[in-house]
Amino acid sequence: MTATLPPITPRPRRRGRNAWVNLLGLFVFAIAAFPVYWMVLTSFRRGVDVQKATPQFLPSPGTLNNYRKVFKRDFFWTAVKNSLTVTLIVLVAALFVAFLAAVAVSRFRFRGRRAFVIAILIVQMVPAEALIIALFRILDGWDLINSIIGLSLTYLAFVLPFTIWTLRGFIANVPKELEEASMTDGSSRMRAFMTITLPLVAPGLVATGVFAFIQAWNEFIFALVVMNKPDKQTLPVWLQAFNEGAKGTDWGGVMAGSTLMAIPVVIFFLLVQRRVVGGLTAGAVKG
Amino acid sequence: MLRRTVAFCAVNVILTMVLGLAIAVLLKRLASKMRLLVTLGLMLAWSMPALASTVIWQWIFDTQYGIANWALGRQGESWLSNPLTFYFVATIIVVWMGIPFIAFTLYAGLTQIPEEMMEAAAIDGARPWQRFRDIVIPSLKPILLILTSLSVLWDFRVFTQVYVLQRAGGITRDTNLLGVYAYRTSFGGNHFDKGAAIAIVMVAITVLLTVFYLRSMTKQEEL
Repeated sequence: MTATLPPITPRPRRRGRNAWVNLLGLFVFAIAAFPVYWMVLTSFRRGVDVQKATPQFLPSPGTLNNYRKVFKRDFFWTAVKNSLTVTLIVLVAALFVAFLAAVAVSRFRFRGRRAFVIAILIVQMVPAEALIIALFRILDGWDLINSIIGLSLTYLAFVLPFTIWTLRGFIANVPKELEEASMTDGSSRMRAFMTITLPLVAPGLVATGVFAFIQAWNEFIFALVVMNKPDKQTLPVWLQAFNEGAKGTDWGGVMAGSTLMAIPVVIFFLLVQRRVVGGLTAGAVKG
Repeated sequence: MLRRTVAFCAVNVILTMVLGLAIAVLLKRLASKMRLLVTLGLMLAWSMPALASTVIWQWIFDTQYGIANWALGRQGESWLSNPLTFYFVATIIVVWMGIPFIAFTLYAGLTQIPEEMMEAAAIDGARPWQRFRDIVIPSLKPILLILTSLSVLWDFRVFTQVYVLQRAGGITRDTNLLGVYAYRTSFGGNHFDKGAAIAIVMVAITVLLTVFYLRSMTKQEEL
C-alpha cells in the first residue's frame, strides 16, 4: 500500500538532536547505576577515605578490611546459613507445588479452574504488610516463631501465586498436541509429559525457581517479625541490625554487607529477568 | 495517616509513571549501543534488593559524609529528621526502584506500535507532540492502565524503605505510613487488635484497587 505513495525523504534533522538524546541517555544511566557503583566503591574504601570532606568518585587503591570486618562480625555466617536454608527450601517446595498446580490449570479443564486462576491473581495483590499480624499469631500458635520451617512456610505462601502464574504461561506455550501425538504413539500420559513437555518447560522452571529464590532472599518484613532472635536472623535483617548499630559511623562496613547481600541477587536477576517479568502484564504487551 | 499514605502513594505513582514513560520514549529514540547502556543501568537499579537500596540511599543522604549534602553544599543537613525531607528521600528510593519495570514494559509496548502509523501521521503533518498524544498514548492505554494499578498497589504498601529510614532518622510519629503504623501498633505497642484493624483497612483498599487491575488484566488475556 505504502509503495504507491511518493517516497518520503528522510529529514536531515537528527544530528544536533541526537546529541541531546544521547546526553539524556547518559544522564539516566548515571542516575540509575550510580548508587550501585557508589555502594561497591565505598565497600573498598578505608574509613578515613569514606569520611573525607570531598568525596572521590573514581576508584582508588582500597582495602579489603570492610569485608574482613563483615565476615568476622557476630552472626554474619549464621545469617548466611539461615538465608540459604530458607531460600533453598522455598525454591524446591515452590517449584514442586507450583509446577503441579500450573500443569493442572493449563492442561485440564475442571470446575472452578477459572475461579482458581482469578484467586491466584487476587492473592498476589494482598499486601503482605497487612498480613504480618495475623501470620505472626498463627505461627506463634504453632510454635513456629524463630523457626526456619515457620519462615519457609510463610515465604512459600507468598511466592506460590506468582510462580504458579508464571509457570502456567510457560506450560500453556507448549502445544498440547505434542503430548497427544506421543500418546497416540503408545506412551502413557505420564511418559508423554516427562519426555515431551518437561524438557520444553525446563527453562521456564529454572527462571521461575530463580525468581522464587530472589524473593525469599530479599524478603525483610516477615523475617523481621518472625525471626527476632539474633541467631535466627536472615541476611536482610542482619544487615539492617548492622546498619542501625553503626549509626552512620561505619559506612564502609555497611556497604560491604550490602554488596555481599546484593551480588547474588543482581547476577541471578540479570540471568532470568527476560523470561519472568512478562507475567505481570501478560497479554497487554504482545510479541 | 490514611491521607498521608494516599498522598505518598499518589506522588510516587505519578512520578514513576511519568518518568517511566519518558525513559521508555528515550529508549526508543536511542541508537542501539546507547540503549544497551541505559538498559544496563536500569537493570542494575531494578535488581537491587529493597533493603540494600534503602541503605545505599541512606548513605548518599548521610548527614555528615553523604554526597548529597556535599553536592548541595549543605554540610550537616539532616534529611531524615524532618518529615518533608524524610518523604523526599523515601520517594527517591521508591521511584528509583520502580522506574525500570515501568520503563521496560512501556518500551516493549512502544515497539509494538506500527512504524507506518507514525510515518503516516508525520506525512499528514502531525507534530511530534500530536503524534505522541494521539497515537502513542492511545496505543499504550491498556498497558498504562495495568501498570498504573500495579504501581498504586505497590506504592500503597511501602514498608521497608520507610521503616529503615525511620530507624535511622529517629522520628516516627510524623512519618508513619499505614503499613509501618500497623506494624508499630502491633509489635511496638503490643496493640494487636488495633494493628489488625489498620491492616483490615489496608486490605479493603487494596481489594478495591485489585478489582480494577483484574478487570484490565482479564480484558487482555484469556484465563
